Amino acid sequence: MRRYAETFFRYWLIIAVPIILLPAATYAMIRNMPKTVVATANILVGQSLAGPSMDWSQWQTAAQNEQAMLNQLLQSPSFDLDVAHTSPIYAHALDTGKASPASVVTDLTHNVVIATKGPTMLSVSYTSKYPDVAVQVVNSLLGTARDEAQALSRQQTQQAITYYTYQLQNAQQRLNQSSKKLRDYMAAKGITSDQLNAQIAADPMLGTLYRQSQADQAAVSDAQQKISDYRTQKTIPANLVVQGSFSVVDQPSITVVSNKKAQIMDLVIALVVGLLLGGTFLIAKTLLDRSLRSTEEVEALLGLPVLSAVPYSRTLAAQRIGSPQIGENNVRRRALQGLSRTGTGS
Amino acid sequence: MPPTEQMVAPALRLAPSSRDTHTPETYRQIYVGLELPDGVRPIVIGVTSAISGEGRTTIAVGLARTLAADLDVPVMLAEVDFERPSLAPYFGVPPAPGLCDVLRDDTELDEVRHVVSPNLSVVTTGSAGQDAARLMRHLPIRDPFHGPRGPQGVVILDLPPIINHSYSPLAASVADAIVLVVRSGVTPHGVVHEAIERLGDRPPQGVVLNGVRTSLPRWWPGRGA
Repeated sequence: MRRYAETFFRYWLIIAVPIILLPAATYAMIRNMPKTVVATANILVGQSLAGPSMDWSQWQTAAQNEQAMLNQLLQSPSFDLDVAHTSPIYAHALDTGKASPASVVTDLTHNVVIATKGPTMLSVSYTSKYPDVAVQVVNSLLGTARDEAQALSRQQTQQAITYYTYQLQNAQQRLNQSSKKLRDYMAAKGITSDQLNAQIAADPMLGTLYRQSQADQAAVSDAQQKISDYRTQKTIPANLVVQGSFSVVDQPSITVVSNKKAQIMDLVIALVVGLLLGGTFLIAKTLLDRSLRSTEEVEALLGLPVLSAVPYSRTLAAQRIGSPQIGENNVRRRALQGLSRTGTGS
Repeated sequence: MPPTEQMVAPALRLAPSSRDTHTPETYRQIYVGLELPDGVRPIVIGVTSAISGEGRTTIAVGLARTLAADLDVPVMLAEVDFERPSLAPYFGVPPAPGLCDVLRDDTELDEVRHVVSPNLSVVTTGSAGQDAARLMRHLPIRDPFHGPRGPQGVVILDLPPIINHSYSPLAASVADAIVLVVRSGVTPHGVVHEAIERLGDRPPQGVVLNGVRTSLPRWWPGRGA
């Protein structure tokens, strides 16, 4: 214990260096480190003009559907790169090689959070060290999502028109067939158009043919109406179509993330590491010191009495008789030289 | 030729030395702590260390000075470290002739003694030349300190370090008591052990712990121990 205390008081400055410097350096680093900010925008999700085909699940709210869609888009590297390229600062970083495409994907995947805030409300957040970047990325994300939604909507509209055109052709054919059958039956029975309503009740076959013809007529009208609707939607300006998908309620706003706990933890870790380094130095220095320092040690280790303990004298150390000034390392070197010269040392 | 007052080195008339800041009590403890043989004259005390640079010569000089001041018998300080002589410039005496010349039978011990104070004389190594090792080996055979023509009183031998010189244990065998100087906080105890083992059946009677200092603050319990 005494030896450890001796070592501590002899080398207290060296021991104190890591204990003081490490937390101080950590503190300086924390002070100079940019604060983490979060840019958050709130969006209101509406029913798309594209109709039920836009709903991913009937069991989820519109906000949940939109959240799922945005999350899925974020998993796409091309979407992430589009977001990065439409954000000026990020685009500059990409162009100058400060950011790689892979890092963009990782960054957006990890730092963009899309959360529902009700059945039709979503919040889109991006965490960054730089407020400008955070705002730009959220805006770019929403813009790119809009573009994607627009493209998707147009694609779906075109598909719907194609689908209902085919349906219309089928309905038209069925109508032609059922009308022909009805006309042929009426001609065979000598029924004129004026007598049709009166004869339907008396002739079940005539009634069946008539209702079939009416149903086919309705199917044709329905298909025509659908095609007309989708054609109308196709002519609506893109921004109006997308506004039907979601609209930005709150523009991105910046909030500073409080990470005091992490900072305190960093300081504590630095202090502990400093203490460990200082302690390791103290223990190592004490254990490696094989010299004799006190009369008790001499008597215990050598088994010889100490006749006298001559206190250290700075004057004598400076003006040693017969020997040049020597340091501890020199003494050890000389001891080893002496041992090796006489063949007993290693 | 016995030493005369004219042979007293002028530099040593300034006593005590400004270099020696230790109190005489420090050196008295060494002398008092030794178990010296009765009736043997002179009493030869060898001061050695495991390696060089431990303050061996400083202790030898301090011990010789203190005994010269305290005792009524003459005290002689003889330098046996042939390879690293240092007493001549310190006391301001001619380096040769000295003990090496005595061992070569070129002269007598009395002829090479330099009286540096009324009760203290110094014998330097002299000119060892290439014969240092051979002369060191001859030292216990010739033993100029014990014998009818040897000095009286107390002889302090400034011996060479044990680990650095193979013949050092041999030279130490002429001493009646050996004091081992250990520099506190510097010399590894393994090296000191090795030195004691080399002394064989003539182990040192005690250790002088040189340059003791503590870094403990004054309020530390047992600091002074």
